[in-house]
Amino acid sequence: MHTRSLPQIAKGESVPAANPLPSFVGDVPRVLNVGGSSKAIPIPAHYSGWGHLLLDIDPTGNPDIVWDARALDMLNPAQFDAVYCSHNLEHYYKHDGAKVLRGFLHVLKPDGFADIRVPDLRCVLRKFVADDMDLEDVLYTAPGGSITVRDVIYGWGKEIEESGHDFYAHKTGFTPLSLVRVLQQAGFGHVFIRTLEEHFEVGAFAFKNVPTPEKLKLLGLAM
Amino acid sequence: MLLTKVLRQMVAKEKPAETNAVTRPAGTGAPRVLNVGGDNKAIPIPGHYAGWDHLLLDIDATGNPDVVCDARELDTLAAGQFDAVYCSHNLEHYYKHEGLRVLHGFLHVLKPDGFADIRVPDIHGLMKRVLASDLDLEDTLFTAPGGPVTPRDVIYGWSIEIEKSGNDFYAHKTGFTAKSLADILARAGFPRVFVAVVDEMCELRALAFKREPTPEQQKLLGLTA
Repeated sequence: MHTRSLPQIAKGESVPAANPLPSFVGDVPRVLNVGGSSKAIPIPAHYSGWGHLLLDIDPTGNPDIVWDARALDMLNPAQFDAVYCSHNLEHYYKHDGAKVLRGFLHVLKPDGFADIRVPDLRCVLRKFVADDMDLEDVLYTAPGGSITVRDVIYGWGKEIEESGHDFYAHKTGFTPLSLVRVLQQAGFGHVFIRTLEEHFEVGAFAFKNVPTPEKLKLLGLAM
Repeated sequence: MLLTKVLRQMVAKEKPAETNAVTRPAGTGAPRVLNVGGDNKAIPIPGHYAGWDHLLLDIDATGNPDVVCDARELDTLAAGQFDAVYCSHNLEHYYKHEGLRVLHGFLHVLKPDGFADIRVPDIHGLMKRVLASDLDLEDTLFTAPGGPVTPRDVIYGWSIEIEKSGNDFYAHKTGFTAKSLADILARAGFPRVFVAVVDEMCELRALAFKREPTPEQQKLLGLTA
């Protein structure tokens, strides 16, 4: 039984977390969910059986660590097998995004990977032009309400207005090509991209080093 | 009632302002334009304001504005004092829900026959160009004196400026098309709206009136009824 205490997670100063960190049984691999909002939101099945640590700047969803993803270099290095970051990287200015990615590299073990999902603006702008849409037209409907083209580009207007929180705004955007480039520039040596056009989403698996056969199998990737 | 017009002649007729240096005191009879978020007076304003009193309002004191004020707080200024509000590449710096507040402020400071003169990036034009030219978001769209500008910069604000200044207010927090700009101006309470699309600059130019433009205003601004 491994009980991770706060001082083991962060170096230097104490982490302002409201909750004790979860205990992970045995030597299970560990995934850091960056900006995942709440553990009620499912993470991909390839993490089943993993230790799941949630980091978020917003304490509302009871994250394990209340933390700004731009300051991951304050955490202990090489402690995670994966960083899962879904629809969060678009919430940082371009120069801050590079810092967030360097933080992923910092907390990842040498054979670790980052699992990143962001809106695919190439897909959005293709539909926008092909269907002669306007910015306030509905692109798709989510459980919380209608999502317009403007919402996908700039962040969900409803959430920004209701929360008053600047961190819900999208401060940059990506295409498959620009996502690959930013990951390579940050220092990820091996990047796999897949697009989910029906969700206007692009995903990347980015490895620090040559991925092991086990990781390739786990994620359904081929070299 | 909303009337949207694409007025390319408005663009063709435009000349750079010949003088902006002279700011006459109020009460001399010259019409008055409030330049909202214009950064500094070294940046020329359109030729149709030649001879007008030019008052610069900005949240950033660096460029020596006449009034340092957040454009979301225009209702704190005296009402009905300006013949025009000129607002170039500023409205995209507010969240959608705040934009309406800024426009209400324009209505507040404008005289009954005043107009708002608004320029913003044209997201529809940008997207068409990105697709037609097979550009990626980080490719160079054009080169400004301060460095290259990418499609991403037009959508989200110039990353060079945001990083260098550390100021959040340089970021673009929303975007417009000709239709969405006309819609928000109508919703704010401007009954008469003209929108021009400047394709080569991926820019929208709107003139929004509190009431029907006078013949003098139509002549000055090159509007055709």
